[in-house]
Amino acid sequence: MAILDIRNLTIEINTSQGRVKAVERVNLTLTEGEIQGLVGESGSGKSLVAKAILGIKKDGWVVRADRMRLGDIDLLTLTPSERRRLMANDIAMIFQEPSSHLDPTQEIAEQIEEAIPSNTFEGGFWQRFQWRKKRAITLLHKVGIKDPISVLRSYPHELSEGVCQKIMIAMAIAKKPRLLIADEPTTAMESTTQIQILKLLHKLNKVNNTSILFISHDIESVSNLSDTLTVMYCGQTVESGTRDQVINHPRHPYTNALLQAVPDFESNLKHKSHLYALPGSIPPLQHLPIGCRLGPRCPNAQKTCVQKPHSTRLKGHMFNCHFPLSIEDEASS
Amino acid sequence: MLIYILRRLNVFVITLFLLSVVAFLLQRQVITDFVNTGNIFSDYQRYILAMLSGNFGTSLASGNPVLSDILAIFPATLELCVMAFIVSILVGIPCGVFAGLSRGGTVDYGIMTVTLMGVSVPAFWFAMLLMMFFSLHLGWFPVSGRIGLLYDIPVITGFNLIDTLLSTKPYKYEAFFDSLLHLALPTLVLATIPTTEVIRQVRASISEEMDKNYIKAAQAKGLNTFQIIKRHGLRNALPPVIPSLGLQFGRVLTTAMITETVFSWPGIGPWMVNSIYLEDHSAIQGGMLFIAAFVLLANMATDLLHLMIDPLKRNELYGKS
Repeated sequence: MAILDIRNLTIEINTSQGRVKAVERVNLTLTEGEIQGLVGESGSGKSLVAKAILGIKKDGWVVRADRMRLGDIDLLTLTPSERRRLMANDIAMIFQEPSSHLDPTQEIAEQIEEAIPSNTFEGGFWQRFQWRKKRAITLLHKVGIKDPISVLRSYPHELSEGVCQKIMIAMAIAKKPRLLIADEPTTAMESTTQIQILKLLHKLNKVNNTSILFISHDIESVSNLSDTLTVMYCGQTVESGTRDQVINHPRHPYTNALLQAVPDFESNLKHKSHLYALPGSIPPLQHLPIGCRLGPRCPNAQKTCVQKPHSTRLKGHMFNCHFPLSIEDEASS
Repeated sequence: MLIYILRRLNVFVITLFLLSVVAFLLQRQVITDFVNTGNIFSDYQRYILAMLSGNFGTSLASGNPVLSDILAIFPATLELCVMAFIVSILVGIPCGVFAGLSRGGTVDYGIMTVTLMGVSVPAFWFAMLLMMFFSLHLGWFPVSGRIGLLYDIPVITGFNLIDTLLSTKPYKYEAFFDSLLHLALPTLVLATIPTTEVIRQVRASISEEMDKNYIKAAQAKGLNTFQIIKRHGLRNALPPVIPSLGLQFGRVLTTAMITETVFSWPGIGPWMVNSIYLEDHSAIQGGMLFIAAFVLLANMATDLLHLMIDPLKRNELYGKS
């Protein structure tokens, strides 16, 4: 059963240059207990999608969707306060830029304890007194903080970005959510802890059956963890499918470019050989190309690409391209 | 922390020194019977030693030492100022928060319009209007003075509200209520300036803080708007406002002099004005130094208070930001 089902999510932002479509017709489906990777360059609207799911809006954002459901609840019809209550129970998010998402004037202890819902309490009433503190310490241990006591007594500005990120993760997993949205959860960490955190998320997924939407710019690290993958470019979904489909048989030139851009150190890379990259850069929101937004950078672009491509569905593998890769090869072979 | 306090004290001492030099030069110019030896440095030395030992000279008008006159009168002014600040905080913070949350909305425009009116109204005129309407027309409040003539309250602290409660007279609660009534109008007049300032600062501060990321994170935790404002919004928005309250103290004291004169409040305002009329130079000079020192002290106290409750400010002391 789908825990998260989003159809045609469009987010428009009012800027001084007029209204821009930062996210255009994004589809996302997460089944229960699944880890889905959401991959794209920075600025491709991944975090916007996450915030739209949570219902956190800034002034001047217009969020529209044809369908937006969490389990059997329609998110579009909820009032803001009902939505908050839902978020308190079912959804948790690990934010990007962790230190700015912690209250600068509050000690870490209070902030973590605030994130521990009282319905997760187990044990006798006489244990209630110290329970939150103990739980906070266990949570910090879980995310790999070595001296939780002194961290609990610190203010966010006294801690490094990596530690703040771990605290964000601890707060997110405190309520054992049904859906965890992890927005670049391992960026500010050393690689050994990165693996610890990924393992922790994996364990959370297996033990509590938490669905995870894993947002990252790094297709390689996401592909190790996730069951399904969605690739975004410039506010549009370009391709989605199971890990095998997307990684081994990419249909969209952008996915292909992402995969090629991962240097493969095992094959004998020639000395001083060029690493692969798409020409050009991601366009700013004010100058979005019409039709397929990859158009100007796409190696296979043709005249028809100025029209927005229809999404094609092939055994659960969805891609938006006029000229998908290796369709003819496989058809002929 | 200790170094910061010492640094603040240093500024305090230097400012006082400069003030005393100005006061000294004024006195040298004006008063001819000042024992003038011709050597400006030894004169200043004698002058400052006298000041430090609390000898501000003798008032020509009353014949008492200036300092004892000031100490007898100043509590009345202080009582008025403290009440004005309490009112401005009680009114200003909620209004500022409402305006800041509905920035650009009707509530915001309403509050800001009233605030602008409060800033631009001259204190003496506002005082007279209030007096005419509430005291003369409606008769709700007394016209002037600190307390009704019927009550005889011995002076203990100099603050009427406290003295009435401390006294053992049988009518002490009536006296307390009466002095509250006397306080109402002057407090209202005096509170307008700090209130408008608090509203504007809190409004700017809270609407800035509510846009920050940690508020988004708090929303994602599932807290409701009231909890977010209580636990995170105010906590971050209020401390930066504290030092500006201290800066307001000087302005409030100046306005207090006008207000006191209008309401015949026996504070330092009428006393200073009177001394000026009588050309009582040692009283003017002493009063000036005393008020200046008090304002500086209040500034320093609010700065230290800010430092104590705002961890981010403490961090700045160590050269980080």
